[in-house]
Amino acid sequence: MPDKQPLSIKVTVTFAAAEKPYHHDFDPTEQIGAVLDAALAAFGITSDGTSRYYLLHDGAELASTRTLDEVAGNARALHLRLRTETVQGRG
Amino acid sequence: MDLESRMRLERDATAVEELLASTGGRLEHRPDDPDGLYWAVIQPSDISRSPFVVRLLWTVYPQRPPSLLFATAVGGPTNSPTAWPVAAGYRAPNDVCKPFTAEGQGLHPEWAAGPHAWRSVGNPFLFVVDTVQGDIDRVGGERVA
Repeated sequence: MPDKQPLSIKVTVTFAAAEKPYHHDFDPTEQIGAVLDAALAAFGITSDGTSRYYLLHDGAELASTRTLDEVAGNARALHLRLRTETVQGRG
Repeated sequence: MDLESRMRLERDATAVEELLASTGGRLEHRPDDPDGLYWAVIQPSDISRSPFVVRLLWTVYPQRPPSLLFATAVGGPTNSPTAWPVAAGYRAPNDVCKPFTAEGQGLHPEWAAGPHAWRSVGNPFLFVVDTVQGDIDRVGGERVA
């Protein structure tokens, strides 16, 4: 009997201004935007429109509409980094 | 700088060194530099661009954001506009008016609370340098003319 394929992708999101990383198993079809929302909630960050938050993978920003499967390729685990940009309230 | 600040800063600097090295930059704290003063050499993701030198001066770590200015070189002056990126809020050669700098928080007392409040959890040193790297890369590593 063939081995069962893993049904989820283990995602780790790190954020420099957080005590610890966020870990969660996601469905491969989940979009990056949903992962971002979950990570922000886990880090206790409320997006108020004055800051933009985004996820990086291998140094590149991920579009919110991409799926985890697209980003991960054959991998079943992903390490993403959360970064922020102040878009209002400067100067 | 108090002993606890210095120890926590030295501990957190390790991750900053690793981050900068991963993108072709480096972190310097010269023997004669006072406690809390670091120079982050940030290489833009566009490697055809020359690196920026960020002068970071921490006073109380991690409770207070650093003074953050751009220098012509490690140990160099910060009054040259060409040392600064054209990123929004980076007002060459005076200040970076953002919530993660002492200058920005000083100019905007209202930032002390709410979404722009200084986050002292995790590794704030890493947070500041990573955020500056993002801001530099967003403008393609372009400098003020």
